Amino acid sequence: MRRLRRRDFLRGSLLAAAGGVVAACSPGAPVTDSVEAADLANDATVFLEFWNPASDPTGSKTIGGLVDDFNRTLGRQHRIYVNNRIKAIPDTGGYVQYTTAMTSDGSPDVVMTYDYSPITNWAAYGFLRQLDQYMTQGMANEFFPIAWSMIHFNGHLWGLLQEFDFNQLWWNKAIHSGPPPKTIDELDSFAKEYTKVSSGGVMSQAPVIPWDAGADWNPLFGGSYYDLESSVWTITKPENELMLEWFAKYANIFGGRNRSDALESSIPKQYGDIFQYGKVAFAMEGEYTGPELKLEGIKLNYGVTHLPTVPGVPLGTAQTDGGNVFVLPTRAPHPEEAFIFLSYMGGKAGVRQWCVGASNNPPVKATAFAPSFLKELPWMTPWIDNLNLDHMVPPIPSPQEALFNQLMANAIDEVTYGKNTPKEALAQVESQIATSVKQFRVFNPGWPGE
Amino acid sequence: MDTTETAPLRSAPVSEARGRRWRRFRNSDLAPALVFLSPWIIGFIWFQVYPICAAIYYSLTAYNLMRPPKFIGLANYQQLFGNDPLFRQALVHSAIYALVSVPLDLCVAFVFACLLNLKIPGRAIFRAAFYFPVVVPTVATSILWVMLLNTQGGLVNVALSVLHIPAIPWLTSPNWTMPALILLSVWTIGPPIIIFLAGLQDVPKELYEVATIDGAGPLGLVRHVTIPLISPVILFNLVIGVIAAGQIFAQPLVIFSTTVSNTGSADIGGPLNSVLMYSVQLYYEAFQQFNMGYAAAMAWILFAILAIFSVVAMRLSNRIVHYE
Repeated sequence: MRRLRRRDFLRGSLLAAAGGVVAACSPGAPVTDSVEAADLANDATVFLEFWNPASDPTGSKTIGGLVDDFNRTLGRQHRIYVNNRIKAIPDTGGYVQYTTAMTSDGSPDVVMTYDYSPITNWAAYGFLRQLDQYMTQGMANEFFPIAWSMIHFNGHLWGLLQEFDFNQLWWNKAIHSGPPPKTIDELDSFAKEYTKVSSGGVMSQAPVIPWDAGADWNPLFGGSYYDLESSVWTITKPENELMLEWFAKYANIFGGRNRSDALESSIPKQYGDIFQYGKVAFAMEGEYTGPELKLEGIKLNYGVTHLPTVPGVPLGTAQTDGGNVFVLPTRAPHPEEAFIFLSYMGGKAGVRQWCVGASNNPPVKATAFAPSFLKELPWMTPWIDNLNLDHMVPPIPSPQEALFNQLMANAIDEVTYGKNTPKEALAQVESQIATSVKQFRVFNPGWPGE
Repeated sequence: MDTTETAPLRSAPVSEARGRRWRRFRNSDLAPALVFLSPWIIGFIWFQVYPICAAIYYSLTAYNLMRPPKFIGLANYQQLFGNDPLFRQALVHSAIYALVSVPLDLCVAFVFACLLNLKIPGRAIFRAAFYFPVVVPTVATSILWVMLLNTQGGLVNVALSVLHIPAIPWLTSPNWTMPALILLSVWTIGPPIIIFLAGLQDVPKELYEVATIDGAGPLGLVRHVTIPLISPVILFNLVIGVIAAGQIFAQPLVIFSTTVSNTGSADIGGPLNSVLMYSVQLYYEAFQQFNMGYAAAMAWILFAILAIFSVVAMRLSNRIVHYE
């Protein structure tokens, strides 16, 4: 037997280590494998990497099914095969993994988000391809104006929406049996009656916990933090103080914000506030809350209607919060093929399958107005009615939006904890946004607005 | 002419010396040692040294990952110190956290280490039990603590109610969030306990016997024998503890982004930003707002603060730390 020499041993070790590195760097198997990928591999098939956060049962089933359908039909026709890569996003928010991947040479071809929040930033900082070249005649008219404004801003098309969300007023009929309030004054008239606090200071029931929906109440008071026409921040507009004053009023009615915080902390948070587990009379809730209540087995007798407003603000006004967006990263290796897949996911089949499966608002009119849609999801009627009224307010299409949300959350805290006045709190937000805008302008002179 | 003639004469001994050095290198243990260490050395240079050096450069630029960095000199630092209240807030919170949690953790860890050093039945099980929380992922324990610290119905408040103590809004009141976070740090004192235990086992037993003969009681033994002899270990735990506390990230991020009573997903600093920690704000600047240059400047400021603290602690320790 030959003696193992040191040099041979070292050489062997290095070869083994190199082999290990090569093995570790090999790509893993895609989630989607139901289509015979083997027969595609030999011809000129383009393989697309599709990143999405659909790790939940409903999402993974719908998105997985759509990808399979695409691979079987359009994909086969165009010689495209989509690898469905589910990349879960943490509760803490943020698409860090997505963002860093999009900046690398191994960028995914198509990215889907469950939130709208990263889109404007990605667009402003050059992470996304503009899709103007793919826009078709009359494409804008196929979408609800509010949905179109979410993907078409600053003069360019940045992605396609599969669904979008907004809140309505939900009321718990076990607490409030009468007709729902139509104005903020009417809503306030129930405030004291529905506030239940024990002698020990423990709150067991609230009329509404307004700051739960953050600044989504602002348009209902006629406020607006951003002028969409001129792309300018309007944080210190006097109307914007009204919502904060209203929040402060409720904090006083409760005997301090701590009390409602305690009430909320006793509610499990699998699905947001899930209509506060029956402990709140009124709340702003999205179109997905009904099926979630059913899924959780929570039986509530509730009604849904337009959000109450102050005089001068039309009923049907509501803040749009987000939706599933499909985008093409700037470094997508196969943009042409990726757009074919993207238009399938954001097209009629994709929109319908998702919106019916997850009970969401379709961004395209054809799907929303198809009789079969409301037949399958009759509880969506108030949302479709609301869309017809066309008083919706889009998310702020500014790259400072993430910072604004952080600052505004703190401003609401300051006002509701009695640490600051609405005017002063808004002035502080505006000052910090102004600094950020100034910085942004220096390094991104090509971005219009701001 | 001279030079051309003399050059070969001089190069001969040089190449001979080189050859000698090379032969010595080949025959020594250094070559295989370097080969076996190379995975770590390469990893260290690539994943530690390079990012640290790159961060210095990026801190002087405006950089968003996608476009090439633009050199802006000290503008990021000027902005941080001049006009960023969130930076100041985060810095103060992290300092408070480190100043309170580290001494608290060290005291508790020291007490438990002393107890675990006694010859009691099931000692190994107790030692393992105190280390277990460190093994559990931070995200899992953070979510568990959110449930335990719920104001209404959380087990901690239920236990307090038995003692007629009113419910404490641990995670929802700006007055209680920092104390809650500091108390939670005690949950992960496994590593300092292990290090203290190692130190305690090195203390010669004869010294205790001598001190006992001299009339020292249990507290006297701790004060005059144990603490002086393990003072290097205390210093080590202190420095490591402050560095870790200054970088606290996952716990506040998970706890306060999953706590119900907030005003949206951006409420990463807890109610009234009362627990906005430095690393969380740094992460937010880097990955939510893509201000990589700004975040790199924040990272370097944190590094400088922790480095200064470590140097000062080591210098001051000459007077109070006893090395055998």
